[in-house]
Amino acid sequence: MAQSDNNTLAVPAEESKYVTVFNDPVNFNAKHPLHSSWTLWFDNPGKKSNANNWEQSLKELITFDTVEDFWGVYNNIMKTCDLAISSNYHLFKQGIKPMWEDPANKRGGKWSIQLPRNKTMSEIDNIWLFTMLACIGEAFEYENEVCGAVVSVRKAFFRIAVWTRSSDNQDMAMSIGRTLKKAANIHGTMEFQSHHDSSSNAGKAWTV
Amino acid sequence: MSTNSRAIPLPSRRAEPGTPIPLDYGTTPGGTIYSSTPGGTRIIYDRNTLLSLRNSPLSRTPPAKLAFVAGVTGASLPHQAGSIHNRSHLNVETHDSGSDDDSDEDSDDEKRKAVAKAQEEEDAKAHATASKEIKDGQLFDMDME
Repeated sequence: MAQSDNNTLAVPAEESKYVTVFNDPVNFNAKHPLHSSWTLWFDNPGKKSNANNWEQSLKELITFDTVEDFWGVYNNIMKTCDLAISSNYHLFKQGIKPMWEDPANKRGGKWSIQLPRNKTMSEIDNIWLFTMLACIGEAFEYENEVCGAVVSVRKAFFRIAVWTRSSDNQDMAMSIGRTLKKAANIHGTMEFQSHHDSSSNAGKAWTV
Repeated sequence: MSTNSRAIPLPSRRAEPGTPIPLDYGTTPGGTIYSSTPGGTRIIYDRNTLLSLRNSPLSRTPPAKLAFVAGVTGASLPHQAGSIHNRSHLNVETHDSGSDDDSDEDSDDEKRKAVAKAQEEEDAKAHATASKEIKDGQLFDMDME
C-alpha cells in the first residue's frame, strides 16, 4: 500500500486539505489507512459439521482498510464472550482464506493457546481485540509472515491463534510468538505447530 | 536548444553525512510511523493510537457492506452496553444454525446472564484503562521488542 517513493499517500502536499482527527478533533475528514486490507470471517459449524461441510458455514463479514472502519466493524458485532459455543472469528489479510489449504497458509503454522473459559471470561474480549490490533497495526516484526488470527469459542475454553506463512524458521516464529503474547496480554504457554503437523498429530512444537 | 531560463533557487539545507534523522521524520501527528524495513515502507500504529480512534465519529457506524449474520452482526445486535433481555433473544437465534445440544443451551443461558453483569463491569474498567493510557502524556510510543 504505502510506497517508499511516494510520500504523498496519506500526507499530501497541501496538508490543510486532509485533516485527521489528531489535527482537529472536530473538523477532520480523513480516515487512517492500514498497511494491509483485512477480512473478518465468522463461522459456527455446530455439532453436525464434518471435514466436508464446515466450509459452508464460513461467512465473510467485511473487508476494511482503515482504522476507523475496523472500529466501525468491531463496535457493531457480537463480543467474543457472548458468542455461541463452537463459534469462531477469523481476521485474515484480504485474499487469504482462513483455512490451511489456502496457498498462503499451506506451508505455515500457528501459535495458539487455550484459555480456560471460566477463568478468562472477563478478559477474552480484550485479548482478542489486542490480537487484532497487533495484526492491523503491524506490531509484528515479520509483517509478511502474518496471515491472520482466529478466536475460537468452545465449551470449556477459548482459543486464540495467529497463523503464519511459514513454519520452518524458528527465529521468525519465536519473534511472532513473543510479540503476540506481549501485545495481547496472554498469560500461559503458547505453542507453535505447523498446520501440516497439526493435521497429522505429529511433529515438534515450539513454545513461548 | 538553449533557453534563457535560469535555475530557480530552491531553499535547501545540507546535513552533514551521518547526521541523525529527526525523530519526527516520516510521521504524521498522533503517532503514525512510516517505517522503512527491508521489505519497504510500513504503516504502523501502536495499540494506544488505535484505541484512541475507537470513539471517533468516523468509527461508529457499521460499514454498509457488513454481512448480516443473525446474532453476530447487524441491527439485531444490542448496543455494547446491551440489556440482558436482548442477549437472551440472541441466544435463541445463534442456536438456530444447527447445534442440537440442548443441555449446552440451557447452561449457556444461565452463564450468559451471569456474565452480562461481569461484562458491563469489564467494559467500564477497560474504558477507564484506555482513557488513562491516552492521558499519560499523550505519547504514542512504539511497543517494539
